Amino acid sequence: MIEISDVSREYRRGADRVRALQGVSLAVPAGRFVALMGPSGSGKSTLLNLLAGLDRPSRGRVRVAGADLGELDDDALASFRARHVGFVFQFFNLIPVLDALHNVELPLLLQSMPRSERLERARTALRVVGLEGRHSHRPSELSGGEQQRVAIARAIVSDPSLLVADEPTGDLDAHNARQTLALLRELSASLRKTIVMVTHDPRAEEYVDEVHVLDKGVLRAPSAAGAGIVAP
Amino acid sequence: MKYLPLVLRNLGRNPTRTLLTVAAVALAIALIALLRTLPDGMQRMLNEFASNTRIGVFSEAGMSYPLPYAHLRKVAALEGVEAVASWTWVGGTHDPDRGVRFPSFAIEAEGLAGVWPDWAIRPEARADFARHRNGAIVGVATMTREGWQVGDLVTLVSTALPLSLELQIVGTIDQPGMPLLFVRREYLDQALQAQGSSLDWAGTLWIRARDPLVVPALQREIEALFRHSEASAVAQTEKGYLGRVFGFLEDFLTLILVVTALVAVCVVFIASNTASLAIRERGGELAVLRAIGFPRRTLLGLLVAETTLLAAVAGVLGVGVALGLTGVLRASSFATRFPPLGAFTVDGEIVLASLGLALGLGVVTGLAPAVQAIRRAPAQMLRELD
Repeated sequence: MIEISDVSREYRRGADRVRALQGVSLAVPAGRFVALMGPSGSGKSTLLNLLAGLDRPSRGRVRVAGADLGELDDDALASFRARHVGFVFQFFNLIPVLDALHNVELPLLLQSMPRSERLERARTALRVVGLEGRHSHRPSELSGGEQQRVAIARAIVSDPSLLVADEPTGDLDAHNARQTLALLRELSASLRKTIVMVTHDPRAEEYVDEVHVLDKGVLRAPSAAGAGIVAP
Repeated sequence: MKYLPLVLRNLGRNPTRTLLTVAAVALAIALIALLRTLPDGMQRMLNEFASNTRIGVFSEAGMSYPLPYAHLRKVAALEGVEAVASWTWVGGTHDPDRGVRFPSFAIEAEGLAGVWPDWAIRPEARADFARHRNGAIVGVATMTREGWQVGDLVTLVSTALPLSLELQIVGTIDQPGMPLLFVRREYLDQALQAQGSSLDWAGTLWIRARDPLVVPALQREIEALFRHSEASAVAQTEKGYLGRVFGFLEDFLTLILVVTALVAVCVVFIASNTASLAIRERGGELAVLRAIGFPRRTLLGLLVAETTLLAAVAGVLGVGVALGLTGVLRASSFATRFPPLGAFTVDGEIVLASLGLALGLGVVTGLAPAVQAIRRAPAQMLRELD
């Protein structure tokens, strides 16, 4: 599903050249739930952006779902993300003027699909995350945990093969954090979604299949931990 | 169309700001539409009032300088001249405390009939004007405004000359909006003679040519006739004459148009700044939309659609206001007091141009901030989000 070969990413910050990633290689088979961990500034989000098609490597190759992302232009990358990637963010990032149903519908606007089908699929996604009674609620009317579940519904509604989650529990209390991790675990197990999650949350290790640790832009050996509560 | 609900929701996220922006743009569009009626209105008014056979002759020094009355006889003798008349400014009011309330001139009775046969004056009124030395013919606008009836006796206090004239209204000029009041020149002359003076001058000489084709030659001939006299003169068609009268107003209008254009530009800047603020506030949302696969062009289209839709609504409102105002002005008593107002209409061309301007304004105000917002890479936008 994901093949990252000897990838480096450098960028400029003022006069300085920052080496965010150095010679990273990683392979994630389809259906795996993987955590990227490490201290702040270690390159976790940079790696996540590369494999989600939000950024391009300075060197090396990133292949996801059979596509070499380094060879795609901006429009093709946008199209790739729309078809293959679902996003979950730390701060949920829902559109405040839309209710839960229409927030979830958003990614489907990019597909040729009748409105009735879009709304039906959005309802289904909300049911999967346990929010079937909250369709007409706006983000401000939902708790943090519920907002994150709406965001997860938005991420899966277009049935992408890859979900990327950037600190999905970072803005949640312990209870909601566990519920979110369990939901992601469930999606990986039941829907065979490949999930790559950047997190600082040590509880995540109980739910994921494997943990990769980044330090100063270099990928350390994968931890055997994980394996998860639910066996892969 | 599938994006329309999203566009509408975004416009509704800050109703006060949306309403104020719509109001500002609508006001600018209404102003521009109203001012655009002025040049056409002027032209329409000139076409309506001016004949293609009448020539006005006035002093080369300026319209407010008199000409020797003897000039009238000389132009009357020219080949191609059908009738002549003179206008001499009396000014006047029937209430000195309120200043000049209507334009009044002294004229020859036969001149009124000969030079303006097209004016809606009943034959018996023309006859009475010729018969009664103190007769007055009054435009319907002034009749209505002053509450006069035919047969009324009124005292005209001149503001140009030290005298008063006792007049009897013998008829009306039934041209819509006509404000002029005419007294007999002979009567004014006698009043001046009673004071030891006489009327040996005139303000403007009017000529009706036999044929529109001889008008240009007549103009040249009249100007040549007086070129070396002590009072050289300018001869213009009635359209040119009225155009010159309104020329002063036109300069003023040009100034207003320039100021209005500047106001409109200011409104564009304000609307653009508002759009820029509104888009900047949504940087996080735009970053997420870019991340989940919305292409740049789609986001650009959505953002520009918002400002364009807003401007279109403002354009329709602005045009509606302009249409309403001109309609109200035409129907109000203003139009009878100041006839030019009746000629100013917001026609189809102005409606289309104003709506086009509103749409263009919407695109321009939305484009710059939208391009600025979406040109960055999605990863960078998301980093700024954190």
